[in-house]
Amino acid sequence: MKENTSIGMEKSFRIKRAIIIAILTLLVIVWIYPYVWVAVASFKDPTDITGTGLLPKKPMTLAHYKFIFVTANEIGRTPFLRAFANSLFIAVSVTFLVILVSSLAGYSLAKHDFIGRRFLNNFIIFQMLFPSILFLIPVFLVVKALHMIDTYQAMILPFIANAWGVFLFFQFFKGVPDDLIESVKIDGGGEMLILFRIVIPLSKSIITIVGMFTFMQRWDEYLWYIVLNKNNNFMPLTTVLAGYMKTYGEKIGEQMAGVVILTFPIIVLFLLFRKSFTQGITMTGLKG
Amino acid sequence: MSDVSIPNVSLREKIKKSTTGWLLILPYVFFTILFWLIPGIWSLILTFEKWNMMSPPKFVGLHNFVSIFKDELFLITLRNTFQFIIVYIPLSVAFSLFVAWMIYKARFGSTFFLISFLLPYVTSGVAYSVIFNRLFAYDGVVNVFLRKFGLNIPFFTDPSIAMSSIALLVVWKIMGYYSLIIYAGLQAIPPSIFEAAKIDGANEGKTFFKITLPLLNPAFTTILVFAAIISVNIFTEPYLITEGGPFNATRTFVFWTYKTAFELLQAGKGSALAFVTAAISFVLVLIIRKYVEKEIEF
Repeated sequence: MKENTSIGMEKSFRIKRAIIIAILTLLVIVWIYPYVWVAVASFKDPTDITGTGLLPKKPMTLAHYKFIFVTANEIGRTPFLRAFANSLFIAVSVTFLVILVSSLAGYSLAKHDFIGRRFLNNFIIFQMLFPSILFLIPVFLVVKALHMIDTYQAMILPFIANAWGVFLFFQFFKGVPDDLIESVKIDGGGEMLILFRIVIPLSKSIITIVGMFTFMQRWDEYLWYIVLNKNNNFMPLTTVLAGYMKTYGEKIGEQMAGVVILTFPIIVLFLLFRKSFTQGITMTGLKG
Repeated sequence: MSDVSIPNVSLREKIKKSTTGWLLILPYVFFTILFWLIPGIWSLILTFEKWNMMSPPKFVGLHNFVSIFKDELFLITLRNTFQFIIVYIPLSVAFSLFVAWMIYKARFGSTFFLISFLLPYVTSGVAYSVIFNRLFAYDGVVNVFLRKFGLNIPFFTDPSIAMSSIALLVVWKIMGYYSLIIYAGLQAIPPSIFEAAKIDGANEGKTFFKITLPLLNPAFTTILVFAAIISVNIFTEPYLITEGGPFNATRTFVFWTYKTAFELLQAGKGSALAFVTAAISFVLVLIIRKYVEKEIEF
């Protein structure tokens, strides 16, 4: 009798799980469908794009990609290749510099005793309270005063001091035992040796987390670029794609090809580093 | 604690010891002064000035703030933000709770589901604005599909629903992110608590409302704080898809700040608007902290 009910429960539990998995799968399809649609549309014949059908009825074409990469150049628009290179250069530079500057600062705050350390420690927490909108106008004015409008510097330098990055590195280095560092010192190792032999190799996971999020934010940036850039040659992908949407409203295939170019690299990166990424979210999310 | 100097160590030695620490943090301090501290102070000064970024600025006292609150756009923008919040916050929280709970219960393919729902989160705001501008257009996939049932929803062209449509997009984008936070919260609850509830004869519904939900409080607080900040700070979607329209229906505070400073060239009023924007998100966060956040112990 008792066994019977437990088998019954087991069965109803299984059915429940099957229903849950079915619902989740359905939702995933809804969530992923727009991407599939965009990817297919970017190869579709222009007359074939509107309507609900996903599968192409006419032969696929590379014309949209040709337009954004080649034709655009000939008619005086920013070519996508240039914009792609701009975006990549900016995002990689900021990511590298944020990791370097934040790890040094975090290490210093966690493992060095210096005058003013406690003040700086509190200051970094204080900094995180201020939303970025407060800095849009005055950073623009600083950049203008430094004659950096339409330069790469203006798209890179203002983002290097990242309080969130310093805070993560600081938290991490606090957990590294002092003995480990002392032992290198006793062996006659200098500060640089400690940093590059011990501290940095240990902090790979934190480097990936800070790096991933920084890269993603820079790659996606839009507001700062429309404030800053007047010269087409310096425009990153986001600005160029948005410009296409505004001026070539009817060229849907071209827009979708642009979306693919803007989205693809970040998705590949995300899938490669998915673990550090989810770690980063739960880590910063639950500290709240 | 270690800041307290040991009596034996002279000040000179302390300064000498400080050098390495300072050298390591110097790059950070330099960039913070240049692109955070100076701009921050400049911005505060600007709120009391009238300035077109060319001719000399003029001191106007609190006039910028007065002109914001007197502006008819203030109430319109506030109303839009409110409309966004009442669609966005309940939907995103309920939906992500539902999804996180299902992933937790499924105990199968959790990584796959979490990653799939996170894809929109990593997609650039510009990219998904372009995507949904198309999908939700009159001849877009969604409306062509709906017309088979005699329906047609003017998502972005009807002023009464444009802001809600944008809120819906942001829910689609952010759901995976919030789900992950709730999912982590669910996993942090020790299974022994559920076991104990089962032994005490609590049914599943009761366990969920009396135990699971209260224990998820830290996750909810985090999500609500994030959601409040997003609600006040959205820009890319209304700027690209609806340009603040139709009839100012999708104007947001960041949008207004941008327009004022960089199209009307009113740096003073723009800065004041940025402060008003920050103040509104600050107040919302404080309200959430006060009324939602609770100390919990496992």
